[in-house]
Amino acid sequence: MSDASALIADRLERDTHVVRIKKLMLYACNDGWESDSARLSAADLTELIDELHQRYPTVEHLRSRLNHLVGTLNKSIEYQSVAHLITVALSALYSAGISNPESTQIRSLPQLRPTTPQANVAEILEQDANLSRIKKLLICVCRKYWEANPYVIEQTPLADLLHELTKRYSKLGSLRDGLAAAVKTLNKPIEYALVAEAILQVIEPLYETEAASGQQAQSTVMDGFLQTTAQAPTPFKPMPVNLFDVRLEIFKHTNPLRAKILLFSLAYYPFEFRSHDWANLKLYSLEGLLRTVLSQAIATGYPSPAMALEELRHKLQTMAQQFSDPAELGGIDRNDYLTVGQALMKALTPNYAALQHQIQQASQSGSAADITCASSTEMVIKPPLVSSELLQSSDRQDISGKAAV
Amino acid sequence: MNATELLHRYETGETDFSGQNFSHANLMGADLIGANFSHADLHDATLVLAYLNRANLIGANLLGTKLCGANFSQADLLNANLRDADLQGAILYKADLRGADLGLAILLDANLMEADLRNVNLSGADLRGACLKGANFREEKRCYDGSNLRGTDLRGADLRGANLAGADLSRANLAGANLSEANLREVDLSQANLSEALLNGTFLTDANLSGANLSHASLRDGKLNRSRLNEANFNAADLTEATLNHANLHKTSLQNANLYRAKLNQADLSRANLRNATLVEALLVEAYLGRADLQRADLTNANLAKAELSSALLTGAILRGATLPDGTVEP
Repeated sequence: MSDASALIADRLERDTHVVRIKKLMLYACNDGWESDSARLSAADLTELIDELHQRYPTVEHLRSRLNHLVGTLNKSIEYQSVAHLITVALSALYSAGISNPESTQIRSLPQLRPTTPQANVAEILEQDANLSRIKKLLICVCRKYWEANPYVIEQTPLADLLHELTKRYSKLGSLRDGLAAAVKTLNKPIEYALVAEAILQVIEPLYETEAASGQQAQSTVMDGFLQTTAQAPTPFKPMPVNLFDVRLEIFKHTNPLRAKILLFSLAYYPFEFRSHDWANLKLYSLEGLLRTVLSQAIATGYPSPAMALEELRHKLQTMAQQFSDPAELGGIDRNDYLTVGQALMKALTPNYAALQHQIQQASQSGSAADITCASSTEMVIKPPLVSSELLQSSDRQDISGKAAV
Repeated sequence: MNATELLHRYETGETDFSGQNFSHANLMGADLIGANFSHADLHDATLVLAYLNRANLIGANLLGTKLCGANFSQADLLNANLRDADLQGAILYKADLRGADLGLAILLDANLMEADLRNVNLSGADLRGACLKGANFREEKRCYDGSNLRGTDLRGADLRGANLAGADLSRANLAGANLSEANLREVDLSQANLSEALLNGTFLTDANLSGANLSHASLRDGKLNRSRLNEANFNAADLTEATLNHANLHKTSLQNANLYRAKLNQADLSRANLRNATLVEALLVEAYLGRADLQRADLTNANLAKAELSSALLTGAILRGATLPDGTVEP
């Protein structure tokens, strides 16, 4: 324990949001959501601060981790400011250097001004009304999968995406081709071709040297889209991922509703049995949730399927541990969801490597629309009750699937 | 009797609640295994995640009841009224649902494995992603009419090995569903959507599929003798080794379909669109191909003995090694 941490703890302790601060810090330290008030008040802020400081080598690591965690919460807007508060408070530890605790003072860091060209470009795109689509398209081009979770999209820093983009595409021409290829796999190609154009216009300065040497491609993504559609009347369709056997195993060994609740909590936010949670759950099929969770497991970038599976097991178990049916459902029995988690793992384990391969193939072969193609069950229901915080109908439509067309 | 009293009585060993009124009761998560609710009124009650395994619900009124995740394993729901009920993720494994009314009910991701669904009404119900493996919908003359699945949403449902013989599935949506090895004899699938569905080894003899959409569906080894496929869409479908003897394929679209080694003896293919289709080693003995479009189709080693081919369009078709109507073999 250091004096600096104690000072920060003291300051945070007096904050009106101290409970939320603790909850989020515990979440970042334990990878699990704590809502038990006894355990919350028992948690020591100074220790939590030290642990966070040890866990995350730089303030940026901390910021990004907290932002990511906030994205998984259903009160993300409230917790965003809490995350900011924690980051600002702890930045003192990082900026002053813990070796000299005496000089540590709590102060908010001045807002960092963008200095790199990428940050400049990010700032321009950040103002665009189509920001969400811009990010979705960039995620698709950089990471080769279609992100449908609005939280994840919101929380992914544009600057990171631009960095990945310029690493992946060293020439403006190849970027143009990459964007065009991605656009034509989507079920709203025209809309996204315009988004791609907007990105290219703003991003050009990052490729200035190339432009100066006069190699800039003249065609536009829109041209590319029109050309390819004209040439290819039967677009390539990736092999649909077949999850029938996985689902059958789940049906055989567990309650499908509880399986959905657990998967939903993993993919989106912890289900709390409130009426809007029920309305949201009804928007997702078991199949769609499985796909999302599998895609997310792949996106973590573990080198081997075995490791990705192990990580998934860990996540399921952690989620299941903090879960029980509410008291009115006769539950406090946490074992319920642990059993569900085990049943899910049992269903996913035998063919996991093959499944991962199929999902990867589908996403690499162009298909942002993959999630979509086979997923006649990744359906869109017009939600009269859905809370606006979770879903924007336009987001759902983007992945609503070509099969239905 | 209210919910508290019911639970109390059940705990003390009473199980007979037949004919009682529990409408609007909150019985969330309640353990009522084996209880007798025959002809009871449970409409608009909440039984989310309740345990009703082996319960007797014969003729019960469950209109609009919330039954998400409830467990009805081996329960008796004969003639029950489940209209508009919400059964998302419910377990109806081996439940007896004969004659039950499930019109407009929500059965999203429900487990109906081996359920008895003879004479059931599921018209307009939502069965997306439901598991109906081995379920029985069979029509039985003089006992059970065919089940009513008109306009039912069965997208992505698992119907492997289910018996749907004689059921009415007209205009049902079965896109992406798995019907492999299912029995669909004499079913009405007219105007149904079966795009990307899996129908490998499925029995569709004497079925009516007129106007249905089977594009990109897989029907390998499918049994389609005497089926009515007129004006259906089989574009890019896989019909490898499927049997279609005596089938009616008038005006059927089979563009880019794969009919490798398919049997189409005496089939009516008049005005069918077979452009770019693969008919390698297909049997088309005595098939009627009046004005059929076979442009760029591959008929290598196909058998067209006694087929009516004179008015077919054969521009760019490959006939290498094919047996022609007059019995001669193309070089």
